[in-house]
Amino acid sequence: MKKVLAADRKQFDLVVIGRHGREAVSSFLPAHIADRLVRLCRKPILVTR
Amino acid sequence: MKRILVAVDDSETSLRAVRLAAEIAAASKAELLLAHVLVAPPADLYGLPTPEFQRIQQKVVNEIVTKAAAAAEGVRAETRLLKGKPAEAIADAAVSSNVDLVVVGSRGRGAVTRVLLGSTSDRLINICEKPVLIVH
Repeated sequence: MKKVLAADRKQFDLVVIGRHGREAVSSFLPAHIADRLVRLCRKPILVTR
Repeated sequence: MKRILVAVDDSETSLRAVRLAAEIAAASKAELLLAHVLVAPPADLYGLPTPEFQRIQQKVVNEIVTKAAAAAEGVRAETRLLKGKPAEAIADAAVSSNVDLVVVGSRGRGAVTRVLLGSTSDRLINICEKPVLIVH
């Protein structure tokens, strides 16, 4: 989470994250982490399943 | 990428979402679908929307669509008016229109307001089957 939020301070244009759907995929971020990132990150954020 | 749906409303973040979507569309030769969800009208005694509300809503919708189309200048774009709960209507339109990406602005509500009212973007990332790009 801290690393991703560091994108706010760096020269990234976009943050891309995977998110759990109903069929959870273990390698993806848990839903609540994705939700928090969407709220906290100031860069455009692409959420995929 | 062929089609990108952008949810538009009267906010500044919505216009930023359109501009970013237009940038992506231009780079990938995609077309934009500018979607606005109509607010449910207050009904009169007979359960019909009041003429005054309809007149104001029409004016507001025209302004929103005109601004959004201007922000998407140079990219092929069509407009669609949706009805229902915002997140659900956008998620349904994304599937029925077979878009490759959904772009929405986040209004940046405070924590308390967000808990009380929820957020369209929060809800959308939970229910939308398509990739969702949130613009702040």
